[in-house]
Amino acid sequence: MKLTGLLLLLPLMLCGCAREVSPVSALALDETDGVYRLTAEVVRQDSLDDAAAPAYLSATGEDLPSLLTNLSNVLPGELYLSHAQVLLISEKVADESILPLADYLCTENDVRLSLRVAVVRDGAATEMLQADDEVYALSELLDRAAQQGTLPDMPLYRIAEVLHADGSAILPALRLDEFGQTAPAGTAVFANERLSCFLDGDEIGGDTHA
Amino acid sequence: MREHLFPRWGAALFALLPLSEILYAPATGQTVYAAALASLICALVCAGAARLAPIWQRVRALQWILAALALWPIAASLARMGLFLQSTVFPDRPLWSLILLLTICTLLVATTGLNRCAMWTLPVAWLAGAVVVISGMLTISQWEVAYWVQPDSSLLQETGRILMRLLPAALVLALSLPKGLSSAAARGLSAGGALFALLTLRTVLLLGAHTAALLPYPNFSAAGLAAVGDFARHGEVFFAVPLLLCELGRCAALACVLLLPVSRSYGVLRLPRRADQ
Repeated sequence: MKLTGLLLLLPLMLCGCAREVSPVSALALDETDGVYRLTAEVVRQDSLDDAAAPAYLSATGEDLPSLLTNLSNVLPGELYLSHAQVLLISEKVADESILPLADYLCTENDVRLSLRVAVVRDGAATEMLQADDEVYALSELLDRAAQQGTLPDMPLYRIAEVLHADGSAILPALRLDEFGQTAPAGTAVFANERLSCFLDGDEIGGDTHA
Repeated sequence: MREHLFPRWGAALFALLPLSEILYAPATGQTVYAAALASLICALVCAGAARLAPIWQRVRALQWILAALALWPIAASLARMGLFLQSTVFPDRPLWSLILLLTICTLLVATTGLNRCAMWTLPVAWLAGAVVVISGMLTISQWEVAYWVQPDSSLLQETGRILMRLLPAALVLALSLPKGLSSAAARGLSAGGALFALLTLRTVLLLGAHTAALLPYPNFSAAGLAAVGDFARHGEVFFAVPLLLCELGRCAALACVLLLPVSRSYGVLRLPRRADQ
């Protein structure tokens, strides 16, 4: 009897584990005059038909830890990055060393190692994130392109590995086309952990990034 | 019949020991070889120790020494399990509450006695082994053979590190066994060690040594990449639960050794008053 009572009481020790979360499906990182801006695509399921719809929230900060803290402050629930599948970074962010960014994301407990990182050409990453009304549209595009071989298959864990190994990496590049749709835009080549140039499909050698 | 410890139960009990290390082991290129080597050394030492067990158990003082030695691996296991749960699932829970919960679970299982603990380790070991194998197979398409590294001078150091964690628990259990289980101990440790090494190899080939070095629990994180379509994307949960059960089984078996000088039985633990009745 005592044992049964004890067993019934044991789960009470874990009470309080349930918490309201704000699941993030994609992130965009921009930089302007040394100030970073992180935009999160949060999945909302509060419509009458129970369909998932994206909502966008932004925060500014000096580095990624402070950005995540500031972002969690503006979210209605706890920041939940476990469902995040894409991180878009602007060319300006890619101009700096992306190794600390990759390392930080790898060690962040919630972030999945399968997170795909892409460089946004000729525009802001936030703008591209907000261009699609569908949740997970970007990740589906990158998954499909990686399977077809039109864009490099570089999830977060592979980026960290190759950057640590010799400082060079290739990442998929995206841009908004003339119709405002997200489209593959070749490959971003990184040397010494920084964006070096873009390769445009058949044009091997590509444009040298200024 | 239930108070008899069959060799297959004994083998399963010893297989849990290397399997329990999987969650916490680093995944450098050398860990692959070190895990295999340490398990092999452990198997040989424990096979010898299990032969000495009947002589050892005749002396009561030695039983008390074994019980005292069992305290260290139990404390280490509970602490690392608590830390793992706190850093992965329950970040808001105080560490002491998680350790307390695990201690209570361990003691509840231990009161069933070493024989039954060993009996329950058989399905747990099979489950953990199956999950480990499935997890490896699901990620096989993402392996990069270029990440494979050859043994180097740091292998002995890495082997020593694994032995420090594996050997005390294995030795204490081997010296506490009823006679005739030395080959079972060797078989179990070899099988568990082989899985441990193979899974570490999977992690290295999947993540690469650099990325794995960034992660506190690389084998656990690598299991998160084993997804079955969109349905089961959090493969690490299915992976961690059987391995935590393995560690709980290991703790319970060691707690039985701790209680052995008092209970003097491998069967169900009975308090003196209830036993008299």
